[in-house]
Amino acid sequence: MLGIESYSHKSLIINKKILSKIFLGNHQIINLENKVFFAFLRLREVYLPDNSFTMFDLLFENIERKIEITEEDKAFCKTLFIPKKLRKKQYLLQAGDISEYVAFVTKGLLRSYSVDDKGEEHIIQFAPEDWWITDMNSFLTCEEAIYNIDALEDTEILLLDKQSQDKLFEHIPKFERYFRLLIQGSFVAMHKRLLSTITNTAEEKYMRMLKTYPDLVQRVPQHMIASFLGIKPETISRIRKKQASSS
Amino acid sequence: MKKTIAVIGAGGAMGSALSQSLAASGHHILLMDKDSEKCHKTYDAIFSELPNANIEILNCIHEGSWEADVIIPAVAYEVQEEVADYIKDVVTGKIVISIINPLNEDKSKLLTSPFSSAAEELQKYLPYSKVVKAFNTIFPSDFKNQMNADCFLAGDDEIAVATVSALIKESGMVPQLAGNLSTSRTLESMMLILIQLCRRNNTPESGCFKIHFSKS
Ligand SMILES: NC(=O)c1ccc[n+]([C@@H]2O[C@H](COP(=O)([O-])OP(=O)(O)OC[C@H]3O[C@@H](n4cnc5c(N)ncnc54)[C@H](OP(=O)(O)O)[C@@H]3O)[C@@H](O)[C@H]2O)c1
Repeated sequence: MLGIESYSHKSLIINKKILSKIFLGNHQIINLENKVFFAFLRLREVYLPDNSFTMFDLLFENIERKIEITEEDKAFCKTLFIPKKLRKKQYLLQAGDISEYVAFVTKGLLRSYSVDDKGEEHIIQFAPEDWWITDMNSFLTCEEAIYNIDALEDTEILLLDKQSQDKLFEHIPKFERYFRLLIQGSFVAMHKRLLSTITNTAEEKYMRMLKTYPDLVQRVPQHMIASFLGIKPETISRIRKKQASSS
Repeated sequence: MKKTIAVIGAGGAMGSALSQSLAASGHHILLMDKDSEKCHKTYDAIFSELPNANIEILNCIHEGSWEADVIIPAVAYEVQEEVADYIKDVVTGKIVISIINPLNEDKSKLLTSPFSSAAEELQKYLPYSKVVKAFNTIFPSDFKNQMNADCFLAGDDEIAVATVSALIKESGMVPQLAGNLSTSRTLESMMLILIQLCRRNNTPESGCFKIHFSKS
């Protein structure tokens, strides 16, 4: 008889090693009765830090930077957002489909991009943790998406579909303000980017990117940064060399 | 777009048959079972018939349900509540297919009250998911016999029902929408009758429902 509920704290820690061996290895190595199985799963939850308890933390922090929300509001949000994991290279959206969701990234990195007639990819946006991403045109109009969205790393997201977003607006109207501020911010950023694309030199664009998103430049392969800026990867190499020699 | 489907209890009779059928339609199937050896058997069986199948074994039903778009608990009725409790926080907004028949051990009666069903109970445990009753009137052995069986389904969410209908069609069966989720009471009883009929006729558990609508 395994009296798991009555284990002392000390003996739980001793058993931590054994538990991770059972549940972290490639295969579960024993077959347990259901009751014991679930008790083990719960212990695993206590001892292995990578679980979903913090899934909503980042989202709520993001929201609270723009509007005030109560515990009740948070509880309501938890009934609407769809928790989802994507593997590296997995699609959230493919061009030609309808963009059903807006996605908030809680871990990992997504990008949106379009593919031209020659098969070349043009990156529109990167979305690391704490960012929102979607094909906004398709989401709002239900027209076919022109962008693909895929994962550059293993990623965890929270999805909100149109129906749930409407429900959220209806129940907690200040969320309209939150999403307006988001769209406003993205509108301003987009215009800055547009202006930079048509007026700045390649070097200015790259330096601006380095200054605004230093982490991304580290995290993303150089050819993708080039695709995002609309310049050639060789140009970035040249700028980097020049920087290195002048410093 | 192809779906990621988590099958909990993929080593069992129903779990393995469903996994194979859904993998044949090109979906990404996450196989999970308490007993990993059984899971590996399912995995090998699917691969020997479908070398290009997009399937894999996961160790944790919570992780798998988090990653999936559609979740199918293919476990005994007795375990349904515990499984639901365990995956609750990662299935909000997702489709959960209820294939479970709440039968007693010798399959002679239902364990649920006449005013409820396994599917409705599951919906209560997972209030923010879209539970759809389906596949519960199909025997595992019949997934491979493409005999155009009628596969009844029931659910309250229109989009979820349409998605499950498409999965049924891809499996080579005819989706018959029976009604909203409470119609599951009837659908679960129907499997009881089918099992009783098999016994009375001394045949192994097989055979399916087929409605013949009159032409005019
Ligand atoms: N067989 C049919 O004709 C049929 C037809 C339609 C619907 N159904 C329904 O489908 C469900 C499964 O039936 P089945 O005949 O396939 O039964 P089964 O062969 O016993 O399969 C159930 C599987 O689930 C596993 N399991 C149990 N607890 C689990 C847990 N906590 N996490 C993960 N896996 C777990 C079992 O492992 P262990 O064996 O190690 O416990 C077993 O491998 C039942 O609810 C049944 O009513 C069955």
